[in-house]
Amino acid sequence: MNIAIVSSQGGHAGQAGIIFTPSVLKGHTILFVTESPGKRGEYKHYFQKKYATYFYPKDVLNFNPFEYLKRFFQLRTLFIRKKVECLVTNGAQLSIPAVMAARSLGIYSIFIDTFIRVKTPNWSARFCYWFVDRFIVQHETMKAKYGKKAEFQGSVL
Amino acid sequence: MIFVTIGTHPGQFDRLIKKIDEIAPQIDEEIIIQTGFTNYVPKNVKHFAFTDTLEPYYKKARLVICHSATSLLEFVLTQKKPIITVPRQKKFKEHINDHQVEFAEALQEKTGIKMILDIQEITPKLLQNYNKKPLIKKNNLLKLQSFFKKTFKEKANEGKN
Repeated sequence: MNIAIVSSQGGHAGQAGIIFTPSVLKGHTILFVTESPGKRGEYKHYFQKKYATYFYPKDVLNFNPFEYLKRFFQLRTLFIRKKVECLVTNGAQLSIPAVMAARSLGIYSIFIDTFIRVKTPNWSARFCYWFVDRFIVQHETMKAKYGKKAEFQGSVL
Repeated sequence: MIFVTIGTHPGQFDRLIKKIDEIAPQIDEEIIIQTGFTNYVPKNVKHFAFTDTLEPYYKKARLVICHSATSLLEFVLTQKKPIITVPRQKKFKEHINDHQVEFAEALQEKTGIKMILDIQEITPKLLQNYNKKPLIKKNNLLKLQSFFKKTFKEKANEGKN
């Protein structure tokens, strides 16, 4: 299966690296999508030193609706080109256009909330909650903060 | 060696750097500080702003003192070293919100990693004697990973049918 993993730079990409080890991803074709201050476009073996990784510029989304719309179309084109069948994303801002692009193409989507939020929901997760097929939280206590769809299936620690 | 690191967040973190610099002369051990974007320049210890990789410092350190960023997770999972974490706080304008406090609390609860909110708790005695290694249980991570393995497999099979 062709899986796209979408994570903003920093802690989000870090957590994706902890969860999605080669043994978890074995047998699937992976495209990791993230942000970087310097890198642009596709690097063949980058994520886990193994999987294709696509970089967008960092911080340009910055709550700007035009940038979101632009990124939505870019991701939609990328997902079509790579024949993505499943999207996994764990925030932050980049997951919003990614989830919308997946939704528009009928791609199965999973959102993983960040481990570091234990009490307060974050707004990109709140938004994505309404548009994803599965919504995973990393603390039992967070289930009630989001809604019925939220499920606990384990956590990075 | 005691290694202090505050990452690449643009906010100031004088509170921690100053305190370490102040007590350094009373500690009979090498201290190195990664100061990041903090303006305060330490007088009593070795320091640098940024480097490509912190790996050699982590390896050499006996004790690591750091802000409570998510990158800490990777460190905790790979290196079994004593850690003290000092979350950046909104009220000191060290970060835009208090998510580091939330994270540090969760870490303390799950792994026993010491969290310090009041900087006065950092004393030469604490730093010299602290040797508690974090307690890492990987069962939650394995659970999450097997969930994804299973879900991917199911979806891939659905696709074939």
